[in-house]
Amino acid sequence: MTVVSPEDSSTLATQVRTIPGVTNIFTPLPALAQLPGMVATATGMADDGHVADILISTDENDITTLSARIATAATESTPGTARRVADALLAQTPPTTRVIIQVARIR
Amino acid sequence: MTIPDEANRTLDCGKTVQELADYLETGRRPPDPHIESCPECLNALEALERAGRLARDLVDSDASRLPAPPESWFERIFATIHEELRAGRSFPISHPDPRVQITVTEGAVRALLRDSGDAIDGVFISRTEIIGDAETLGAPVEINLTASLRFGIAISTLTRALRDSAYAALAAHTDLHVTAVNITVEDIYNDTREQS
Repeated sequence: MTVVSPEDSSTLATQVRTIPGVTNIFTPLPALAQLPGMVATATGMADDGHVADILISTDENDITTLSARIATAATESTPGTARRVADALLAQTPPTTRVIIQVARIR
Repeated sequence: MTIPDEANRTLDCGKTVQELADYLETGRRPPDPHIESCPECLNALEALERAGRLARDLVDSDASRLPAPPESWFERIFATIHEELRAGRSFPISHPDPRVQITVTEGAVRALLRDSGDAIDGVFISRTEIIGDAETLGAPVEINLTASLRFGIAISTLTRALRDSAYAALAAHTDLHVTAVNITVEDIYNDTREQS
């Protein structure tokens, strides 16, 4: 995969769920993806109206940002898990893509 | 479960601690889709469950030797849970790629400190604080833990275990540069149920 579109959100989320140490993915808070100057053009809104688990947004310079809010297992290193998630997302996306991971729960 | 009015302020997601306490009392039935998929709510639910369990244990125990903790003790804990388990600040986790930004929420870290402390037999964490510029990678931070300890176990033993547990949890799950874990023992509670 080299291009990220809002339709890719559920596919990416499914892949993230399989990463060791990830126990859950939560709907990202809107503020999580709102970097300075960013205008979200794709919210990852699913057909049923629910916001997708991985938010995909694009700014005015066509830079895409993937935002994920996850829970990690207490039995694994949280930084290690979060880095694996970031690396997995980077590997699936164009080289200009930015990735934001927020760990909201460790259990 | 009675909680003070101030705990009716909302978490970041809009739920109140009172709503979560009510939900717990129903046995989490019917399942609330928001609560069951909201990290702040889930962190708060678990803290409330542990406090409620301790309360029941104390009521069930033979409290003849020492008085049970006053109602205000539980009220303080419930109010603190509300304050602590909001998402709060974002603590950075390093990544070599500049395109990546990783953070762990303050609420998640404080819940982790509660979990790791409460897991020690005879310890109940009533308050956690993360002091310092924790939003800057590498900046020194101090952890303040306030705990209630069960009567009958040496305080030095429990505080040493608590400090070790906090250091280990933070080292495993954050990139915080922890320079001290300060522990305040505010109560000794009596639970003779397990000793009889």
